[in-house]
Amino acid sequence: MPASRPAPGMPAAGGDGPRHGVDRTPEQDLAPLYAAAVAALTWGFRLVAALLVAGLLLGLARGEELRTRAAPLSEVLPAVLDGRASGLIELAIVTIVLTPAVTTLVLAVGFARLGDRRFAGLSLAVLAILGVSITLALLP
Amino acid sequence: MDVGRAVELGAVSAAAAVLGSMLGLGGGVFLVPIFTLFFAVDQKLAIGASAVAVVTNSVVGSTVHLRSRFTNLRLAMLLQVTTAAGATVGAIVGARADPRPINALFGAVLVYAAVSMVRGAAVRGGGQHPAVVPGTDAADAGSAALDGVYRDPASGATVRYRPSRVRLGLSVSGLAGVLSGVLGIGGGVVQVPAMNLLMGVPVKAAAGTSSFMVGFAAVATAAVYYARGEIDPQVVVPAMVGIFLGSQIGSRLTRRVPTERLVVLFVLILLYLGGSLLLRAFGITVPGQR
Repeated sequence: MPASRPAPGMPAAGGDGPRHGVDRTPEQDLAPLYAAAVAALTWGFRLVAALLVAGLLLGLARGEELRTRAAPLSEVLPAVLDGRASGLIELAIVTIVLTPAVTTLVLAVGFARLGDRRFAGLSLAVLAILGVSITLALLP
Repeated sequence: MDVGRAVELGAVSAAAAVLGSMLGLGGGVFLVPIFTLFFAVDQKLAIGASAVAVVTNSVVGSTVHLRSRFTNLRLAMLLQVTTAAGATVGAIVGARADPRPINALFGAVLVYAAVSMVRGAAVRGGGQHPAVVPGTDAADAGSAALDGVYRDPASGATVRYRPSRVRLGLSVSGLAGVLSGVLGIGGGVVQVPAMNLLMGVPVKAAAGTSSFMVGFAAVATAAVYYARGEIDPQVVVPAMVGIFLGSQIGSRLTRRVPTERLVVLFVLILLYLGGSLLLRAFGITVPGQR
């Protein structure tokens, strides 16, 4: 089966092989990064879910209509501070969009801490590219 | 807000996510056609909503793959460079493009997905597996830094692999990013076969890595559409909730329902939606659609 074929120069795979052999592979060295990425994504989603639920409940309680166009980012926080449901909903949308970007930053820091400057740099490059599109969203 | 319409949008988003997660395509590939063909949602608003829904699906779904180590983080970040760049360019171009070529491109992608599914089913039915092609060029044979390993829960075996043809993978990822940006889909329909067949990444690792990557590509699309004021919370919120619920249901159904038996139904749906979009690109609306 192709999936279990060892790559050139790599030891043969096997479920009963010595565990330390698995532990020394590059992917296993990244265990703290996997944990950090999972934490960033999980907390990002929890925040989004809380904002959505709060916004929908507030909207139902006040009979407030959702906008048909999301407000520019500069107007989202003032709307939240005013206690408007639409502000909370739009903040949820912005937060879900920012969550992968935050995860990329977490990965860049994680790679740097592991001394892997090449992949820290690549992560920052991805962040810069995402930054271009997010900057477009921030521009009036 | 029209609650009835929101429920309908949420329900079809959930259904799209159920189908998408069972097919390994993600729900985004169905959202834009359904929103535009049956709910008369403006194409740009549908793409913006789909992009946000794809991010949501990726944020939730990729944690499972990360915990299982199916996601190859280094490979993801490497391929993400061209994917994110392609998605940003694609979104900027797509947001300004006329709806007709977008419909034509989307229709072609859906037909391609249907054909790929038929070919995949034929290969599995023949008892064969898609060939894993190692790098043929020493300079492009893959780096040890990209080596991946995970324990396959089905067989209990430890699977090790080294992605090859990295430069080709980067090019195809850029193309997937452009499609993601133009169409508001995740791009997994291109990424997973490319990683598996071109780069020799096992299917589970390809799916896990793609699931993580598509969210990043969709971020670029969503941000561009947000900047252009083409995010409609009345469409986005039902899509987000529906995609989340649907992907949860779909991942559970996948374990119980033999997906192979449903391939014919899925292919027919893809062909119907793809054909409808191709016809609409030529100004023809299929009866029953808006």
